[in-house]
Amino acid sequence: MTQPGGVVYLVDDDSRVREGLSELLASFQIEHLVFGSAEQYLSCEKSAVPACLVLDLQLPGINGLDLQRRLAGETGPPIIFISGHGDVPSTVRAMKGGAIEFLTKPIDPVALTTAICAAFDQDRNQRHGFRI
Amino acid sequence: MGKTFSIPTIRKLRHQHGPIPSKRVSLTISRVDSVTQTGHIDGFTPKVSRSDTDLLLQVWPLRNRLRITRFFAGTACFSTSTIARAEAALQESERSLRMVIETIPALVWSAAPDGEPDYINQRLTDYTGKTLDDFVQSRWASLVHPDDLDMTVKAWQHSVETGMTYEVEHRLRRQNGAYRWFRVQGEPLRDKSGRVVHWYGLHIDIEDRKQAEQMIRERENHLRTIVEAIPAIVSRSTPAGKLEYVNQRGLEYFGGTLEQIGFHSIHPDDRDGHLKKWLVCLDTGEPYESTYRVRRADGVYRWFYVGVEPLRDQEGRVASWYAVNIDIDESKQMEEALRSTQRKLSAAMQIAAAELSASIAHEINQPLAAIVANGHACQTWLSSDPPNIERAQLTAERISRDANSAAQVVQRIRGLFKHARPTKTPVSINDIIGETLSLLAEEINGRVVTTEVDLDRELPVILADPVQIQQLIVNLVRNAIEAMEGVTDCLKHLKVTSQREDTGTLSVRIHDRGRGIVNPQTVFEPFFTTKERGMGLGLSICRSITEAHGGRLWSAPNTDAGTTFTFTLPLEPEVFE
Repeated sequence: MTQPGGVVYLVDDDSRVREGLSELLASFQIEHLVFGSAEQYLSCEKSAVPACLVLDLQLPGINGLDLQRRLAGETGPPIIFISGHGDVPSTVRAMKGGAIEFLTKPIDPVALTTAICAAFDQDRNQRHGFRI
Repeated sequence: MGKTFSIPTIRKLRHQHGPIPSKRVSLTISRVDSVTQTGHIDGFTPKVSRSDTDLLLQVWPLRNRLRITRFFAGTACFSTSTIARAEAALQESERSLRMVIETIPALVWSAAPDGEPDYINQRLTDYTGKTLDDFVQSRWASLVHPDDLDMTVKAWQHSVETGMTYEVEHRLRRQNGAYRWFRVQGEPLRDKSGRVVHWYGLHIDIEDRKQAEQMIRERENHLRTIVEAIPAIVSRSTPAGKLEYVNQRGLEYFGGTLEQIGFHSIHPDDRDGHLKKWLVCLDTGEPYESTYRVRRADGVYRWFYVGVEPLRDQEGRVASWYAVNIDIDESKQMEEALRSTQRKLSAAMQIAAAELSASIAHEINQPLAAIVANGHACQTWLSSDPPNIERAQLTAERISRDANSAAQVVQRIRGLFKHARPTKTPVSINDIIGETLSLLAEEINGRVVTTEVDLDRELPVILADPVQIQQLIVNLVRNAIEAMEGVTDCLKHLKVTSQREDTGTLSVRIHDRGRGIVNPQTVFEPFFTTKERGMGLGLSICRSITEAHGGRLWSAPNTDAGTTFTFTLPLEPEVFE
């Protein structure tokens, strides 16, 4: 597996899922940071390298869609949503909000890495565009 | 012999015998100048011609306008045999008349034109214990019942005054003091000029008839009281359906007269249906029953049960229609409230179940997601060069940890369903089936499903939790209805039966004509579902309920189409707990 250059921000309130996905990303040599809530993510200093946000839909406090809305105006990283069960209205909202992908748990590793690569590319182009 | 004949009689005798031969009858009419007060005629000696003759003497006066001017006396001499014959004939005629008068089953009397009684027959004497003397000078009035006296005396006086037929019914006192009812009729005998010369009357005993009448009246009263007192509107209609009687309660309810009551009093939504049924009834002569809303005098509609039965004559034709209308508004309201509660409860349960299933799914899905991620990570660590055994081991540990966590969730769910223990009371399974079907009536009717119910009425009462059993039947019936949702090629038919089994249990079967199920066993697994909506817990809960009651639940395909779900429950309470 080629290691995409960039950092993944993983936000999920379930520690077991966090651990599992973190381990998966680690085994793929993908640099990543994990957060238990949207608030934690927001308060963290972001690096300048291409990034993507792997975001759980259901979160205590600010939920996934709220966070997406909040980040809409900023030059935040592209978002990959993950959810226990994707109901149609949430999926539509997430995709309309510009999400890269909407994945249901348990998550297919190939689909995840593909989405992450796509997100890094998008973020890289975005940053490049901004620089111009 | 001294018998006195009137002049016409003497004339008649003379006429019969022609010129009376002197040897046999001689008639001498002499003028007499005076008649004494005692009737003796001075200076008149009857002339007796022969020893075997009898002398008859009659004296009659001759008047001018003002006074008697002279008297005549006549003597007639008859042969003894002639007189004897005439007398015998007269006696015979009298005897036979008397016999008639004494024999006819009536009390016979006669009275003078002024109303004074002058004869009563033996029966009247026997009945009253009184003689003619006790009747004269209006003393008979004391024998009439005091309540009838006024009317009787007035009627008699009226007849005497006008000469019109006397007709009255009154009670007459018997010798023993008891009164009996009589029908009395008196007719006047008139002379040629039309003057009343005599009254002849009859008392006919009508006590039995009066008593029968009284009894009929009492019975009628009694029946009327019942008809008026029963808490229902009772009515009768002609064979053609025209209303001809409504009891007082009905008139008060409608607040009008008989003529004002009609189909317009029925609620517009129920009117056509009722009218249609009623016309079928009139056409076929079949009884019918139904429920409908009827407007009260104050404009309020109330629910009524109506039952109509025909009364037939001997030829079997409808003679009258009888209808009873019972106010069921309160129970109808309660039923509606119950149904509404059931609907709300059902909706709430569905929401609760949906939330529960979402929560269960989430609870199980989270560790599964972690397991899958760790599994892939583990594979990656092992397949990397060199393999990262340490990390692989760590992920493997996490996999078994998360798998246990998922298993615990399943255990918790089991516990959740297990703790609902039934509260058992004596219940009739048939009653519960009936209640459940009536609760689901709207759902059944709304989906155009025909229903057939065949219940074993001999089933004993069993100990069970009525709420849980109802839930069980609700689930199975709903399941059957939903199974037939997409069916278009045959009739949507739902059949519910109950019966006693040889194994000391009762069984309830719910047959549907749905698409059928592939594997009859898996349907009872939790979360098994073929439906778009629902979480697949319904049949699993059904099985938990039957097992908690010591019964069994299974399904089997029908030979023609659809599926039959059967559950059994033990008849003996000791069998389960």
